[in-house]
Amino acid sequence: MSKRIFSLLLFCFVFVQSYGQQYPLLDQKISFKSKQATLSDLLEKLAKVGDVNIIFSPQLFEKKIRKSVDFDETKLGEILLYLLAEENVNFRIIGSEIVLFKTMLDERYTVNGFVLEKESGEGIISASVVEPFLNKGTISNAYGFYSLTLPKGFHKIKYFSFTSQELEGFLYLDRDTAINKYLETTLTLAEVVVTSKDTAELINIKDNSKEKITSVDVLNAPSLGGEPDLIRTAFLKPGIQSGGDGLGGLFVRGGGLDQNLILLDGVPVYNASHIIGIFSIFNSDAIRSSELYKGAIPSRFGGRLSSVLDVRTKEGNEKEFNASAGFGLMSLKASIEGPLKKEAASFFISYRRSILDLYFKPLTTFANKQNGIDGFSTYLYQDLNVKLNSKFGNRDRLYFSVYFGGDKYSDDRSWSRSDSISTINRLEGQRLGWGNGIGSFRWNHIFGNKIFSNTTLTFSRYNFNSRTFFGREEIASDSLSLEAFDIAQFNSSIKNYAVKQDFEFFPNPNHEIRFGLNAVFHRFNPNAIIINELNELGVSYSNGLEAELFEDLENDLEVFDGAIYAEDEFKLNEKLSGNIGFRGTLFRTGNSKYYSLQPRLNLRFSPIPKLSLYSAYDRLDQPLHLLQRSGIGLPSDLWVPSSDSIRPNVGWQTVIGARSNIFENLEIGIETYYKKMNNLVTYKEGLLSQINAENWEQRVTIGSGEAQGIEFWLSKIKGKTTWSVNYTLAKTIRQFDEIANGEPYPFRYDRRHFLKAILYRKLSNKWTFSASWVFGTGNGVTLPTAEVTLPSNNPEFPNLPITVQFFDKINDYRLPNYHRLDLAVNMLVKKPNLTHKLHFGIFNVYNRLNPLFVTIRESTEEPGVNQPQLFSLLPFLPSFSYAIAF
Amino acid sequence: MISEADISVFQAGELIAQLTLPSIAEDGQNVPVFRHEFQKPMAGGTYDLEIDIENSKTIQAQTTIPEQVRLSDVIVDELSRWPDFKDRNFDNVVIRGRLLIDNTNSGDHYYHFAQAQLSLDWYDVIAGDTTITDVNKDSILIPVENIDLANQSYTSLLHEPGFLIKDKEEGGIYKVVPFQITTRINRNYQLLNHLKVFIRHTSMDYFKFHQSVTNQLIAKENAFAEPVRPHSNIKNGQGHFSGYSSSFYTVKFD
Repeated sequence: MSKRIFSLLLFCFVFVQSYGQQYPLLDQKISFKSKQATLSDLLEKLAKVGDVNIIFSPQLFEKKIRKSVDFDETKLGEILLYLLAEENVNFRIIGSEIVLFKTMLDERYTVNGFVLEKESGEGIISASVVEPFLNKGTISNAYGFYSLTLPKGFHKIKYFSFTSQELEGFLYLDRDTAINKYLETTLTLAEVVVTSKDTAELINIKDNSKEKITSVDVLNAPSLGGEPDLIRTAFLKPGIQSGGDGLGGLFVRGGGLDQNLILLDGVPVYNASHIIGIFSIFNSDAIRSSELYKGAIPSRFGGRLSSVLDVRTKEGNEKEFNASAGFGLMSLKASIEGPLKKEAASFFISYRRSILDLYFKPLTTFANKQNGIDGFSTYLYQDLNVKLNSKFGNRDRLYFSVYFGGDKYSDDRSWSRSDSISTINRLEGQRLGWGNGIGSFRWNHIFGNKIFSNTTLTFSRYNFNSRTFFGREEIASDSLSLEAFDIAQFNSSIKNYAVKQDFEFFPNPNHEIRFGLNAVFHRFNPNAIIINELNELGVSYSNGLEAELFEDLENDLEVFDGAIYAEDEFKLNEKLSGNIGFRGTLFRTGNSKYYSLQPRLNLRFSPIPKLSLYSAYDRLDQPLHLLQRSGIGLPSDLWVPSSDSIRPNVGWQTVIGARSNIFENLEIGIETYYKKMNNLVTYKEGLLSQINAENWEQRVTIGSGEAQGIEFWLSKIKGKTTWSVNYTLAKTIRQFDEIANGEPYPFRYDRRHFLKAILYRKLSNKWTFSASWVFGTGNGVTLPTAEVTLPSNNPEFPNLPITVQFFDKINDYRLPNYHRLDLAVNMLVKKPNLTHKLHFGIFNVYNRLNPLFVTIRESTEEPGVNQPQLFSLLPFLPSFSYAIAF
Repeated sequence: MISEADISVFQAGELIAQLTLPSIAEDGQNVPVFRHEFQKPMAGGTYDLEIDIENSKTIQAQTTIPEQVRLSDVIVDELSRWPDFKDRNFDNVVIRGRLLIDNTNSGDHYYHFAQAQLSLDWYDVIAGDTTITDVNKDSILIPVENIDLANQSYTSLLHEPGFLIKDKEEGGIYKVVPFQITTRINRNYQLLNHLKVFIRHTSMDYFKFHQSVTNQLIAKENAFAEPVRPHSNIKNGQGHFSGYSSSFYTVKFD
């Protein structure tokens, strides 16, 4: 027993010593230079200059390398590692002497652990852990976990990320070692993006076709109404565009609105927008990180054709309590986080609520009163994020998170009219509501030192409901009365329950293997209810549809979606690396089962340091479809699953690109892509009447799409002033058998040119300035080439002639070019235990009236002549917000 | 705008109608509407249209007029009647029923169920005919309403009375079409016992054109919706050249 305790104490001592220890001998700074000297000579000179004993045998150096060196105030340890890196020789410190030894290929040990934020203890996603002298490194996963296997001996390890300062130190590795590293965040400014030039290429090398959108990007970018927004910030990236001016809808490289897999902490979100897409559901106070894959989508993701937006929210500060509150022209926000048990368990709660009803209610009340009407309209959106997590030892952690959010619109109006015959009382109104509910439970476990396991149970629900009602009461002078009541209600919901098991295996620095499986049960319920009632003198009449449609409410559609995947992030040598994988899926619906095998390959070649040439191919499928009544992503759009007659969408994309930070502080890149999409589903031309779960298949047509483009970007990524400019040249078409006689036509969001620029400037320690400018080709629109007015044969509208419009081609006309300049100034004042954040901004500085849509109307100047008339939504809009954190 | 054209209609290759004059509206202005009261087309007949316009390609189209539809039965399920609130001389009447189309022919069939009449008995029409009743001097036959809005076989029309029916060949024999008619009748008529329905067996192009025009009108209400292109069977032009055969059926009920 005493022996075990002694062993444990010894282990603890060594454990602490190995990464808690400083090495003053190695940290001493030395300057010396030499030309074409052998390693033996260089080491002897180093020993002399550094006044240290370096013990070695010349037989250790097989390669007989000669080197010219010029070290200026460089750490002794770094000089040694630099000199010995190519000879498979390392060293140990014995007393005050440095003893060199030959490293054995099979004598390798793993350093693993978590990269964490110093302030909060939260894991940092995609932090780099690098041994620069061996050019080996890894990247932390979504929970901050990393694992790096290296030869025995001393190493210099660097830890850094996009939003944190760099930490580095020497580590003597002679056993598997666990190290949790706490990095200080550089949260507020755009100044420091890449902190180390010599490791910059390691950051970028895996980022093909991927955009990182940090919380710093979101907070510093100009915003609409002072509401920082993740998806609006994403629109500033190449290849990503919105549905229209001010409206949301994420369109990535010619893909459709439903082709984006939007994940909130790994759980799919079906409608990620508030106010028809003007804002996203992602509260900027809750966002920890986000990544948008435009192509080269790894095998672990699937189910959508075009992109993956992976958003991770804060876990909660496990060291101290923090709270923040703020308001802007659009919303109020508050959040609180803190430890449940110090450095072991924490919570995070964030709530956001719009304040649009403060404007809507009085304005609409006033407007209605002018017309003798009582009533008003209100609009509300809100989001609640709650997360809890707890560590259980060094190897286990449990997470629980929920999100609830949604929009509510209501409009109520009532009025009375009286004449000599009767009094009429009327009531009418409309209710619209939609929202997401998401819950997840996760268990992280570390098997050994090299396998990270994540087990997840999730629930996700999206529902939409709309109700329009109309009531009319007529009271005649002879007391005869009539009441009429009319309701139209439309409900749709989609729920899914999922279980996922993901593993990450880090066998050595040249391979990171991920594999796993997931099973998702989807339940769809699209329905409509129409109720009419008319009562008079005891005579009642109700619409027989009522009963039929209530029956439909019971008709849920249930489908199963399962997948397995495996991928290897590999490095063959210093120049060639990549990611190879596959995803196998099974989708069971009705009486059909659909299988697919989706290969994914991403190859990177670096002929010279800091230059990466790459190419990727990925094949994807999509068994869920969004049936859109319009192109902008209304919440009433209906999600439906593939069925016996409607097969899943399938698509593939290939990208070829190059990126480099070969120039000081500059990143330059070019990427081309080609995307093919088959089995696409859309409504048949004009079939806009009511759909439900029973009949949607008969109202759609099947087709295909193609998208191709080229993206350029140039960014200054370091310094007080940072900026980025990108240009996209793109083309995308669609072809459906029953639309436009089967001929291909431009997609509505086929926009040939896009130029985007964003600038950040640190004005002082408190103030930052940002500006963004966007230029784009207008959306495609279909305009009539001829109109014919026919007399109406409808007895209900006998005097209303019908104008029939004729069209040549779909989306053959263009809205005027889109351009807009936004500016913002942010102030951050940090005081002990208190931080103030102030934001002033201007959206659409020069009041460009970018058209949202166009209609054909009779000219006011030339009666009888029809002209296109453009409608804009968002003019010059100043914004303001304030937040306090303590 | 085209106001001068040579328009010819052929039946089985034989010219049966020709219009070469410019089109003139009542106010004397040229309008792009040409009218010719040529003989009514025959059921089963195939007709060709040719329009020659100076400096343009010849516009061509062809259509075949379907045979008259056979109705197996008209069933009246429900009749509601109550006093009109505004005018106590009249009653409101709602009739719900089902139309049984006897379709033994193969292929797709298209119908336009537009109008009906109500009678005291077979000769005394009390609603739907301006010559006998004074319900509404401007009225035509009572329009028939589609009550199965969720059924994709039926398309309610905004610009024409009635609704369109696409026969799905269910069971190969009968197509059961629920309908509703709403009208007012003089309160003095206490008895209703005859319903006469009119149904058109249309060509596919007639059906698709009117369906697309309705869909276009619906889509125009939504500024964000994709506009709907009217169906066309015209070569070198747009529009429809089509026709239908009318049938009627009278049912007596208690």
